[in-house]
Amino acid sequence: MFNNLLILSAAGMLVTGYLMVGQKALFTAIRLYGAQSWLLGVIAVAIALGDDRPHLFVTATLTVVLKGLLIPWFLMRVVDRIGIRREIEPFLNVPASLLICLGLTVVGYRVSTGFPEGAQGVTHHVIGVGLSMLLIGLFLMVTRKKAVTQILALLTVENAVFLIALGITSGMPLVVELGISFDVLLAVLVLGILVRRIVDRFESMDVSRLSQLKG
Amino acid sequence: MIEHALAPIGLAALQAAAMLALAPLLRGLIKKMKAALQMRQGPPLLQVYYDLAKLLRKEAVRSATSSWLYIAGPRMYFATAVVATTLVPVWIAAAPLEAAGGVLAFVGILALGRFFLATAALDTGSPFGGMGASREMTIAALAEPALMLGLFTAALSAGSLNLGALVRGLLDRGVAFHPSDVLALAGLFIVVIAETGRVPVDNPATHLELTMIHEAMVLEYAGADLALVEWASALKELLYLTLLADLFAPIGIATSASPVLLLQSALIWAAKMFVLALAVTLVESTNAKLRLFRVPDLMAVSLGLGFLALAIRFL
Amino acid sequence: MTLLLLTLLVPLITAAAGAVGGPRQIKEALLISGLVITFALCLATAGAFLAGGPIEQFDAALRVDGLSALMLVLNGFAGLLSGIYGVGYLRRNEAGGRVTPRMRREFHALVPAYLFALLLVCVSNNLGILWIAVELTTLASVFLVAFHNAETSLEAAWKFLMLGSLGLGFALLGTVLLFAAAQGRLGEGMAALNWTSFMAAAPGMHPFTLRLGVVFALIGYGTKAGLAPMHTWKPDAYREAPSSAGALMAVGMLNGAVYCLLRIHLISSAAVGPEFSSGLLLALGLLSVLVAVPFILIQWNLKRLLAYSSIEHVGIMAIGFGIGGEAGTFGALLHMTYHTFAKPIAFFSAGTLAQLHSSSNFETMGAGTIGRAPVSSVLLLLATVIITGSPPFGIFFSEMIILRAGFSSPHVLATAVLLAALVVLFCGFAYQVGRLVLGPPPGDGVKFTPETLDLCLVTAIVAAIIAVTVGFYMPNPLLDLIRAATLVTGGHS
Repeated sequence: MFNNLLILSAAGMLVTGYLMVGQKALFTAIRLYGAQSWLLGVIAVAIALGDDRPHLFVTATLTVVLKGLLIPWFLMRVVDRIGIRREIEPFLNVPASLLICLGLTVVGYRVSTGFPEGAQGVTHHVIGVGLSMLLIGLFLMVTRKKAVTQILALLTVENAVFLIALGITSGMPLVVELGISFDVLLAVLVLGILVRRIVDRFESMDVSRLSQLKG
Repeated sequence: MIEHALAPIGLAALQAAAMLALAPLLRGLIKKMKAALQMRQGPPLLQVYYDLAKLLRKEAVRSATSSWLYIAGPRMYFATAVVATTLVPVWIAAAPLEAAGGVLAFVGILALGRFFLATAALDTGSPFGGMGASREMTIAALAEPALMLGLFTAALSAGSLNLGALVRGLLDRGVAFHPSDVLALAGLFIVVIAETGRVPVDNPATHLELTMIHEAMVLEYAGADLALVEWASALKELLYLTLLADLFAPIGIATSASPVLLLQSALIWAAKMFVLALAVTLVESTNAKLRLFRVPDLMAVSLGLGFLALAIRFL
Repeated sequence: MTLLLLTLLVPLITAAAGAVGGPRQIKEALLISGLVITFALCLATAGAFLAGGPIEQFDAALRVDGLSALMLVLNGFAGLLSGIYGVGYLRRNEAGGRVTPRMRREFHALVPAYLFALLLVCVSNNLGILWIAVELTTLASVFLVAFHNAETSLEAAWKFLMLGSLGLGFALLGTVLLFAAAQGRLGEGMAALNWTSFMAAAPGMHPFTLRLGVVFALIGYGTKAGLAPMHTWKPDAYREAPSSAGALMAVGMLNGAVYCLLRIHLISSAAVGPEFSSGLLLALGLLSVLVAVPFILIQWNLKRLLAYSSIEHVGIMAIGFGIGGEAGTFGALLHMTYHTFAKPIAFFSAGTLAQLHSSSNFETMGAGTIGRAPVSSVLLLLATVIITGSPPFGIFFSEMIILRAGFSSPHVLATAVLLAALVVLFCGFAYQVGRLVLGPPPGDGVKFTPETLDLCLVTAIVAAIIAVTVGFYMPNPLLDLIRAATLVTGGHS
């Protein structure tokens, strides 16, 4: 039963990743990220119940509150305050991006088969999804132009790392997870401030315009 | 393994009639839900029935310059929809005419209906018709592969391309999820949105030249012709949602012809339709309609998800 | 309140005090005294280590062994120098009206905070705390890079934060994978993530997971160190950051990132033998050195030149650690020490020159700066001579040791490539700086401010004196620290 929940949520996370690739509207992309984080929380709860690791409940709550609610709210506020067009124009068009992400997912899955204990069965899927999302997040960072989308791609990578951590370990020490979560939050805040400054300066969120420094 | 002991044709007619009767109700339900989300009362649940009845009473105006295609279009559309209904298991884990065709036949028959409607739209020589037909065909060209990929993925996990056998296979397998199921579901959901002509692919309520797709094709029809088209569209909607429920949540379908099980199965089916209608409503209400040349992007996502679902099966 | 805790707390308090407004003199005094006390505490902690062995705190979450002690001293020194230069820098800029009180408060708060994070990195035994500390350094330095809020500053800060966060994401994954590879053998609670626990559990780690984790961790922390191909943020960040912050980044962050790389390298060596991570370090280091070559030969900006020099040097250190053995490791650590003493001079003199000419572009500055700003130009020349590894200064010896170790190891080809690159880099760097400093002054006059003997210059001169002295005579305790660090790091051949 928990296995199924795990697989459902992990696959759901992968779906949100793909939808983000095909997404043009900033608000929806932020919502997709929020949904992704919620699913991550669900996975944490499922593992907490299924493997009897109570401290993962705290992790789940942290994930949902910080990444599922706070960070999307903050990013939406940033986008709102800036009031720029909500369109994203990527370097690579959508079908080509999707093809590449397909390839990256296959790679991620192949690599995940090398892991030990529980490599077959649930953990294999969770890690496969995690690695795929890592690669997809990386790809998104490279091909997207708008600052907020790059932040979302970075956050997707962080989510992927968390997912792999959940799937492959019996959970890291709680204090460390707390620290890491707050670090991520801080990083997002800092990024938000930077975006504000960039927009004040450049009157656009298009970071591909940030190309004066070369050589 | 259930075999229908009675004449399959009779059962087919029964299933088709029941679905036809229920299809407008689904449409009405979605309209009501949308209205509720928009904080208005909305039309009464049975409004679509009243509309159909009104249309059937009215005179069917036909252009003098059109040919037999113009008359055949709506009727073929309606007929193919009805035939497709008999290929899909609804309340019992077998389709009445499942021996006659499976997944490919299903997709093909619906495509045939769409073909006739599109050519009929061209037949009138009106620019709207041509425009709507070409747009509809573009989207269909992208949606159909995605549909087939999703169906193939489900077929792989159940071991058969025959829809009845597919459902029986899924029921046998029990509740054991695989990530490819979720991906296929996501892909198929997008296809369903596209095929039923709903936001974000197409706005079913618009008649603006720049934004119509399906509506443009049927702009010329009136009276009984229009009633047939509308009814068939509603039936297709119900059919697609039933298909989604069959493939991804087949629990509760009756495995034998006992009346108790059938009643239970019918009630569970109604609940599934309600949930899916809610999902469609939410998607419609939270998304803006895509510009026409962005629709291929969305279909590409659906196609990608379908491919991925298939690929992950093997990894 | 132990020595170690004090060493960490003082910069933190200094940072908090710096964030508060106040008269300029008091703030400056606070900053400098805070940094002086920090450095003194670092020396004291190192001394305590030399006297009594490794120091532990918080259930071994923090631990000072040979490597940590050396890093503490180096980073504390760099922090002190940078802080004093920074005060002078702000004074100069205020005279020109380019610094607002808010920027001043930012600077006074961020520099000690940055130092705190750097010191935390150096004493972290817990891999989780290590990661958090590195993230803190990134966050602290981002606003230092964006200090002047110009278009280019923001671009540099954005690239810096993006790449840095991505690298840290990779490093986190690496840490997680390492943790997973050693599952079951690590114990419970916080101590499970301790480096010492990892070392103890190393032989039984799952090879595939470990290797994947090491790759991710090396790439991640290598991004922070500025190893190629993850180096692209460095030239921009170094150019835009004020020179004092630049010096701290070039020295402190580099040392900190190398510290992380070394800890990972040691775990890997203990688990699957040294060849795997050594090979990775060698490859990354060689690539860094080679990448630096064309960009130093053809360069249009003085501070970016320094950045590529920094990439070159971290590459040399990585190669040294990759070659391994006692000699290679000792050479690399020696290199790190001399680099810490020499690099600030370069940044300070270059920074002064750039400030006087209101630009760090070669073309805008014009050649022949020795006529216009003699002291800074001479210091820059001196720094060039030291950094490019000319005898009889220290870096020459460390490079020699690394090269010798390399030629007597199986990595002869790599060492030969390194030698060739070093020669080319020497020529290139000397050419660029020589052209700037000694060339004929441009015919139509250059807009510049005359040089004054202010705090910045004094700091630079003092730094130069210290660097030259240490080059000739290394104080014994420092040598002991380097030896102790080698013991920790180079135990395997």
